[in-house]
Amino acid sequence: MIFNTLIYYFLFLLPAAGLFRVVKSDWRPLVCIVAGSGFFLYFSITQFGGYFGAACLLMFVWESLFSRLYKKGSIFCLIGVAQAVIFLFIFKYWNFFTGLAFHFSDENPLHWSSIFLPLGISFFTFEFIHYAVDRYKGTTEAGRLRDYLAFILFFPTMVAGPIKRYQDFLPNLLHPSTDFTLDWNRGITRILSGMIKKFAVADVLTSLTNHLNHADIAVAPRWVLIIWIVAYGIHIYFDFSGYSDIAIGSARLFGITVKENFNWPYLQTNIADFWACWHMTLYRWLIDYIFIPLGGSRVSPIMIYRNVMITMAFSGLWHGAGLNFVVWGLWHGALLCGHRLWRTWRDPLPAETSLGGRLAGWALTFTLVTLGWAFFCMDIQTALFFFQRLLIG
Amino acid sequence: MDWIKHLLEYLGGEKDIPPAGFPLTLNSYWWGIWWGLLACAILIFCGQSSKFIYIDF
Amino acid sequence: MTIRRFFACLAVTLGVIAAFNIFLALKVDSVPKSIQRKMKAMPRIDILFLGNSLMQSGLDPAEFTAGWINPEKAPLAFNAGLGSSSPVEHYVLAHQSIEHHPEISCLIYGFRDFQLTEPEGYSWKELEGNRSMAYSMEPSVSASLYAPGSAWEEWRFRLIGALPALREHSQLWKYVELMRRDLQQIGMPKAKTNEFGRVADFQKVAETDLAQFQRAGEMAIARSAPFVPAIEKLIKMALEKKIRVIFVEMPVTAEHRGRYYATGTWQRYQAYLKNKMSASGVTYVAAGDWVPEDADFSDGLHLNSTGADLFSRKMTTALTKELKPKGL
Repeated sequence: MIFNTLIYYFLFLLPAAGLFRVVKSDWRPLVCIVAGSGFFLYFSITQFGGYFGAACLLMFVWESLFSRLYKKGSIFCLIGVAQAVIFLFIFKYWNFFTGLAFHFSDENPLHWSSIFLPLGISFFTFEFIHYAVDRYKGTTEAGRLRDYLAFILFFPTMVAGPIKRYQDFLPNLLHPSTDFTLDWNRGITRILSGMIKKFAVADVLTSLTNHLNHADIAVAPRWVLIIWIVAYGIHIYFDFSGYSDIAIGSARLFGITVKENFNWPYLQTNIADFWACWHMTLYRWLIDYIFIPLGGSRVSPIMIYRNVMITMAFSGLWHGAGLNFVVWGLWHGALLCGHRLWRTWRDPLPAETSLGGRLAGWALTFTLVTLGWAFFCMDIQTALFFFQRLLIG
Repeated sequence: MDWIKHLLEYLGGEKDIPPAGFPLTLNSYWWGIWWGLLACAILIFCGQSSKFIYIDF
Repeated sequence: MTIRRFFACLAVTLGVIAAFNIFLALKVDSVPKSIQRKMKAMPRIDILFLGNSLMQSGLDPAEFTAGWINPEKAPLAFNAGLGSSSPVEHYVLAHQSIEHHPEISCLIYGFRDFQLTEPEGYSWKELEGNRSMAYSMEPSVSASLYAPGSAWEEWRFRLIGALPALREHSQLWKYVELMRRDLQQIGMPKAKTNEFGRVADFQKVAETDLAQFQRAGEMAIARSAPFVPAIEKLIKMALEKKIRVIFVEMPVTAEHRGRYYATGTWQRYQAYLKNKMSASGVTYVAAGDWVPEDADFSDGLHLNSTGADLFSRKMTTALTKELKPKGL
């Protein structure tokens, strides 16, 4: 919801973006802070956790105050990372991990039945972690408290990204684009096309993707299963890229440029290129804050594969607190490892030069990515049943 | 293919410069009609009230 | 792009949207509009039948008239039953009908289960379709019934009622929904449908949890639940105009009778309703068992044509022999 409510546009986006453009530069962060806080409070109270959800605004306040202690090489940066991870663990993974500890039995004494997910927690904690790590490494400046608060409370990207970097955001905040008509022309166009992607494609396809459950899979002919899973792949792309379009277009109304999240991922001819074009800000984040700290690709080949698998398993777990998401992540990890192996064996790739090779690469990539969605949208048992029906009948 | 991608990105608001040979510049009144058409299409298709998938993450 | 050109573009956009609205206002026909048109086209209405799809599918005015002792002198009946609607829309329809046909002498309202006393929540998504009658015909009154005292809601009802693109949205949306249903059907066993939609959907609606049903009934009795505001207003308006008001408990399937209406809760609730109605000057007709065979239902809720014939004839009998409204 949120981006498909009139309240978002008329109560938050248009007034805030308009005000941001007319106030003096010193006041701009304040506009972001006030509008972002109002946005968080309103949508938390109405949709995400009620008043308890709204109280999570204190997490932003605490984070911004604590961030003032960050210095290059400081222990406080590491504590900052730890507390961001703890926030995420408590709200998103508490029941999952305590459930694992009690083997998912019905009698998990630590089960938190009234748990709620604070608005945008998966995304803003990644921005908290990024800032703490980059301050630790000295690769970003501290900025003023209000600038940092404006960064974490910038509402167009607060809920579901694109995941920002402080180094990119700060110059935009301090010196936003002044070409009002260009920004508003592009911003409005972007928002409208994002909504078309969501309403006219993604939502219509739910009539097919709703069938991805055990009962319907059991009665459907096999050829229909292919239609459903392809529809899911298209659905999730149009849903999230539509969302990203609205977020990027909204930021553009402020004169702020936000990094792109998608670059025609389904047209890519290998899995590495797919990931370089799918949810790009998350992928960059995973590389910078998981893969490289693990050693990246400057270690032995075996360790590289291990790092890839860990990174992608983490990516899966981030997408949802369920084993099926972990399997989805591992599936992609395995594909990336397979691609890396292939590249080691056949480099340069003849596939990259011939049309037939590119077509084969595209078909293989699209098929494997599409099959992988089975683990994303169904629990493991249902997904395995899906494959059983698809392959055996 | 690249030209079509560029065109779609331009019409979708991602690119600021039109692809070579495309007559509609950013200064055109046609953008008003384009926005109107998109808005009408949104009016027709909205109402399913389904959540964005990534918003629950 | 200059600022002037940018605002000119916005004006063009508003022009396109305005043209779209005008097109919809002129071209789109909706069920509420057509029922209102039919009502106005009637030379005279003596008996007005009101309710939701149960009444719409259940009462055949021709059969009702044919059963009269002297059909030529039979009162003229109009069935204003409106599928997927709530008491607020029924009140609006009644008000419009009475304004246009002051000769109406009897109003027969069909209800099911706890519909008369259970406050109906509403969201804008639920107010789509036939319920758009609420804001398209009498927005202020509807707002006061759905959200009493809320100026914000009244403003919203007025605004939506004034803009055809919002008011008639369901007429556009139905094409999208039909496309979605076609897509949904690909490769799947064909879903059984009737005039109101998919039979399975109504089957689900009919299958209320028994404990929940009993809880709802007991709570209504315990708190001496009043009629919902729209029903109160409907009764008041009709009685002020000296119109006889009859509330009919609509026929239900044998399964529904056996499972829910055989319970003590329903019998107590029935007694409570009867008392309440007689205190308000309303006649209660328990027609829940008038159509004994489930074969006369097209799904878990609606009567089919044979069921409708049976119910209509029994309605005639009840009116002529037992109820005898004044002036008929």
